Amino acid sequence: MTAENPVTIDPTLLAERLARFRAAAGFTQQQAADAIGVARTTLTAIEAGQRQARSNEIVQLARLYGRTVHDLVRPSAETDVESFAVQFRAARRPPGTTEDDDLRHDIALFERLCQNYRELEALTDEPLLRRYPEEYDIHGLDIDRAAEEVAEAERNRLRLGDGPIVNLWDTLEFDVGLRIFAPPFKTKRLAGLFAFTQSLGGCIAVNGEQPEVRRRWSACHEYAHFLTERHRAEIAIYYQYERKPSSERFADAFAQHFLMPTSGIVRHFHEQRRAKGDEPPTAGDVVILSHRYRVSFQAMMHRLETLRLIPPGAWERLAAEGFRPGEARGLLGLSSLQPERNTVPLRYETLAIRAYESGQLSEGQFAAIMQTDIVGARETVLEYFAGTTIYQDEADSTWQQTALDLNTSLVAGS
Amino acid sequence: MPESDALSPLLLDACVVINFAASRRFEELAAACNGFSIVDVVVAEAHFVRKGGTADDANEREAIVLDGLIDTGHLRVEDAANDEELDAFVRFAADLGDGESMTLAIALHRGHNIVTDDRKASRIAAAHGIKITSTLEVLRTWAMTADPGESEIRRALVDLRERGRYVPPQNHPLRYWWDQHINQR
Repeated sequence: MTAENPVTIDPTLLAERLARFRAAAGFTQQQAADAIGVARTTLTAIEAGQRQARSNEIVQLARLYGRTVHDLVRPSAETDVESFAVQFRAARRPPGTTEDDDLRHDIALFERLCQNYRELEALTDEPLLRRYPEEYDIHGLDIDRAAEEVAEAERNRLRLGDGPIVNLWDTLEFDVGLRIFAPPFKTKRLAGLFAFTQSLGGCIAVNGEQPEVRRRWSACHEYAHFLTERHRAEIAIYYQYERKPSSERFADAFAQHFLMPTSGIVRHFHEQRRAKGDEPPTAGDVVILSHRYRVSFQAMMHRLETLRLIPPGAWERLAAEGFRPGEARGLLGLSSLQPERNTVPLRYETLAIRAYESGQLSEGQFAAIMQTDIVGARETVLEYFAGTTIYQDEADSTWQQTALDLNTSLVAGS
Repeated sequence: MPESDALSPLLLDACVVINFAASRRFEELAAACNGFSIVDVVVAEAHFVRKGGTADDANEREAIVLDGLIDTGHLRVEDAANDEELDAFVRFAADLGDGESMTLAIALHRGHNIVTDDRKASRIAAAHGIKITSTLEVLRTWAMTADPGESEIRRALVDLRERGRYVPPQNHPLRYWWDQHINQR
């Protein structure tokens, strides 16, 4: 291998990535070519797969685009990777949403997590099973009615009944086959992202910085886009619309009906009321009901208002009086909802650990895939795979190591 | 460390830099091995250990600072110097991260030994005839040549474990040595 005989890396894949990463980093061909000291026509030829990139060019371009060389030259199981950056350029988004560095970062992170996931599946030969329904056609229908019908159809399809959805994340991942992440977005007001490609399937990221009830709502909101317009990427940002377009109103209405189905809410509401001797409902009752359904107090108040189970305007009145749902939960002895989802799903983590333990990933690659540093990656392996924990003894503050073998087989003799 | 390799420069990968920093004995280890080399990409990859100790912040990150070791010559920073090394780097990068790839590329072309505990990097290095040493082999070399005393050896291993979260696998050839020293009271 010399500069005269460029390295043998799939030139089509490399060309496609160079163009994709340049676009994601916001450079024109001319800017990128100037930065590495080649003619624009040279870069054009490289990106078109007509000229192989030399090693020094690959290294310089990786640095310029903020990627590793590994990102550029690694083999891929993908054949149809359409850049998320390209998808999101045409995405449905609130007006005035500029593609600043933070949003670009968040989209690139989302794409990387999705591709990592797909590649872990390829390494371990464990594809995520898809149980996708046909897209629902809601054109021309009343939005709230359509949302309720789609939510009910999905609850039936997934055999969820009409009660609270406790394992929302597992349901969407294992019963539907979506890839769902909860990374801490840099864009504070970014609630969620949705994208779809043939090879990755439906992918959702909700802002991990949100409280759990918000994360769940955002996941259902993005799920609605998957169910009705899965080939169109979506960016959801809080409070950006003066008037929400119908697709957004549908997505919110779907989230409401999916998380709080009419029959279940009405039944629980009346059961709760009967238990109190038919006393009028109180704010405390709604706090309990919202906790049971794992939604925010505000969302449950709105739901009860639309079902005419409480007087209209009740939420506004309570808010104006300074009612604090969090404090109310504490007084009622209800703990706040703990996040059920880390940045990456448990299945993703399990596949990554398997790939690392079998020597298919290096420690550095494993850490990068787990979005942590190398020591953090070691902690993950120690605690998860071998059940080994390093802990500080409370009695004498010394560090101890204990092993609890979580991988003990339940099958005798195996 | 095999005696015949003792004079070959030792090139550290990022995981080993973390281990040596975690042990708080980086300088002593370097002195026992006639210094170490490191590639510049690895300098940028080896970010943190944990603080360790008995305070409340024991599990917080502590940045690894290599400047002092570089200034005193205990650690030499190397980088690709020609097209052959750069080509090898890019070729290795198809399989490995950038730091590991550059480490292997430099070792391959300059005849260095690498210090790594990484299974994948070790496998690829061995396939290219690159000689490999491990964290524990370097620590044992230090223990044998510097003779720091039993409590000092144990302290270094405990630091490595609590600050680097490093525990050698059960099938590590020096696991017996680790157990023997870390369990000393």
